[in-house]
Amino acid sequence: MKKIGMALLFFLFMSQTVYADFDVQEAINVAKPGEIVHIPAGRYRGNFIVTKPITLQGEEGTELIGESDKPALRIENTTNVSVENITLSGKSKAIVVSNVDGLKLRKLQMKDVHTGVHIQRCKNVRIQEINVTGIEDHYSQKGNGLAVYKSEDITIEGNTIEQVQDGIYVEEVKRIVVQRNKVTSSRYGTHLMYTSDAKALFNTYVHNVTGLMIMMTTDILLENNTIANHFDFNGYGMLLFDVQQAKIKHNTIKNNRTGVAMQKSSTIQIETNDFQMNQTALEGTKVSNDTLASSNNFTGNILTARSDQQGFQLKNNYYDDYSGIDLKDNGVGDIPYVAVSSFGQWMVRQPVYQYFVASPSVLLLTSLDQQINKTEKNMLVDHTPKLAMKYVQEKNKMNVVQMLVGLFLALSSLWLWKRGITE
Amino acid sequence: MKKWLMSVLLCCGVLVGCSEKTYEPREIVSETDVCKICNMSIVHNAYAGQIALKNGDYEMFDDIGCLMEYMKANGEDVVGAAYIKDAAKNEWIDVINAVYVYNKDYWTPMNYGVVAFDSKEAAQEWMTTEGEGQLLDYKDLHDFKWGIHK
Amino acid sequence: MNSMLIKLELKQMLRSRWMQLVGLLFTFVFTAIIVIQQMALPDVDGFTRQTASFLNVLLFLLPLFILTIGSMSVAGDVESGWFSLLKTYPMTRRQYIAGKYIASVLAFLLVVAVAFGVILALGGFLGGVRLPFIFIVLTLLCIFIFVSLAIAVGAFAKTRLFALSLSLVFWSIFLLLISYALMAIGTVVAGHILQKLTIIAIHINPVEWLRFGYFIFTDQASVLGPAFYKVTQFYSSPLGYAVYVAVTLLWIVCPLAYTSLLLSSFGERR
Repeated sequence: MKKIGMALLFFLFMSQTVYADFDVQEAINVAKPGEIVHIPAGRYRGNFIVTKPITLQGEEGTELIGESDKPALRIENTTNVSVENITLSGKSKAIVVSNVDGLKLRKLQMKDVHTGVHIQRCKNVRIQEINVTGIEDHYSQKGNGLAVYKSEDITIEGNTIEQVQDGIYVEEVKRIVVQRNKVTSSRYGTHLMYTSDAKALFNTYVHNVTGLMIMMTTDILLENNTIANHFDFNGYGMLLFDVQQAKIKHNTIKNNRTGVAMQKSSTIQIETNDFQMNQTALEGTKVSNDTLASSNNFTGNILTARSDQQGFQLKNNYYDDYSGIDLKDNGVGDIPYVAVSSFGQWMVRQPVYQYFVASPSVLLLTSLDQQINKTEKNMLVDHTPKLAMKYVQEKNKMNVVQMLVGLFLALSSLWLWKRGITE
Repeated sequence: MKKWLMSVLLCCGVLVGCSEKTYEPREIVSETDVCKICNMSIVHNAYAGQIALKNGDYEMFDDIGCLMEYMKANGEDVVGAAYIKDAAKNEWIDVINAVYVYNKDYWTPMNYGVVAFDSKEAAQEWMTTEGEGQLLDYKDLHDFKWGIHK
Repeated sequence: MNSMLIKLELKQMLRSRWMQLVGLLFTFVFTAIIVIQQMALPDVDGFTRQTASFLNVLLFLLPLFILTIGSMSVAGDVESGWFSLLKTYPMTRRQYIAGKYIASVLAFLLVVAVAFGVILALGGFLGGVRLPFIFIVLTLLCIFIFVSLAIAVGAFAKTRLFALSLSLVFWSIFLLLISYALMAIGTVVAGHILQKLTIIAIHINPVEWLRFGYFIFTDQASVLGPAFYKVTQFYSSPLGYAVYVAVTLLWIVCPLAYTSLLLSSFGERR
């Protein structure tokens, strides 16, 4: 009896997992160029391959499952391929695309994969509304969400990626736009290497190791991104390494260990960003003289800026810890704002000093520093600190219970105190 | 107070003393180790390098290129020993004894295209599967032009 | 007998103008910091300037008050002959120390309770101000440890003036000098030596110990930097918690035992 039951269960299970009525690879093989291949709902095991200009269209419940350690779907040596509305899974990569001119990927779901989409040597690629969720493991054991190598003219928009190594990894790509994506719980939100002419707009990066990692890249615009909660070991909101010509505008950079760090970089403009509650807002090492941070708002950061000997320029920024006044009433503080602090500079040289961040001793040291360094003229000094800041104050709600508890605690302690004296 | 100072100094002495002489490679801690030069966290362990400094500190690198850049910037005088991972066996080997293979199409974390092996045979074996490359030794790395090559 | 002593001591402490002033000051500073910072800054979790300043005020003020008031109270007893008088009663040295300890702890608890009550009330009224649980725990630990230290300092000093100056010396060593010394050493030695010295300093400096505890128990150990990954990892484990509790207990028991030793020799000499 048990055996029969087991067998029945087995068949039930099998019939659910394998949808035998439709052969996906066969359908692809017989399709003529330009045709739409519709894949009905069901789960299909295999390693499928597309080598001609067709559209693969799934529906709710269409799932391709990659077998062994090979990708679920490969697209190679062709032009104008579209894939939409499909769920992909498997142990390895979900989709690998090589040598394709004109690729569209839309509305794809990828779960528990090692790597989501791997694209190499392609042109005119558009990736939209893809969800990638990686496996639960340390990021060193995973692959990337969307990875693009040696390609040109790429658009990546509206994707949601979590739990992978690098959310969007880009290497040796010309002309790329990354916009309105959301990457969380990964190593790097977006990682650009050896890339030129790149734009990252309106993206949200939350709680990765680093939000935007930009390396060996030229000509880049980072605008209107929200980058928050990168506060783990070695966490940065943005890290620019060996980057030339970058514009960083209108971003909100909140609650990171280091907001924006620049290393070995030149011609970087950091304008009109909001730096809030970062442990260190701005860091620069080996950056060129023309690196400029202007018209930003610095609020609630423990350390506003730190650098090596070279420093960088600060201009027209608002600092909430600026202590000067504006007698001329022109909206600009009368005395310069000095961001340099001995502790900040030490921390750049020797990382072990991080232990002392905001410790009582450093607090005292920094306030002494600010008195001494008032004479500092060149390094990390803003001669025209802005005073007023447009600020949207959040309305706080009154918490009656907490108030009553507090009142009770205060009054009863006072009463006890009084009683302790008189009795 | 004097006692304190003495004990602190003694501790310093002991700590310095302990770490001199031999320079053993240390394990990679993936949670915290980042490349000293480029700041990337070390996840592709098979390409990682490390330098044991004479003062007992360790610096980790994600790619042999970054390691060589550090050597160039800081001079070899401060370096006690330098190690690179054998790309095939994933074991630490001394950079001086390693055999290097370069091919611009080999992928490495910084895409410099140079991988290290413990012997010529291992390098040959790698080349039969990954494509022919140019054999280099440690001296060649000093004037090697790091960066991607078109 | 013991409860009589505690009552008497508590009464004396609470009556002192100094204590009342401290209560007022403490409440005022805490309230000002919390309310101003919290109102001006957006609310985020994690280590920020406002949590840092709260922690720092706690670590700056509380040890200072406890050390000075506590040590002077004990030294005063010895200086005025009150302690010698007490010894004619059927009361052991241990009872005296325990009574003193409990009375002082209770007095400071009352001060802190007033301050926290005002913060909570005002915070509740304005909205958006919270008092994290960890701060309450940390405040309690701070009181427990430093009252014990204060009693030892007082017993060692034996006169009020010496007790005051000695407390100030200890306070500045714990709060500032050890850190500055470490930072200075760090400029000449290798990173791993500085790291090891810092770990030693965490254990031999109660202020650092409390600060370290804050990061451990709020899961923000990453603030301290990758160099301390292994230590923080250890203290975040169950065994680490046990060690933390044990070291904290040592910080309370050792100074009291030392006091007992000091006072016994004092008795014999007379």
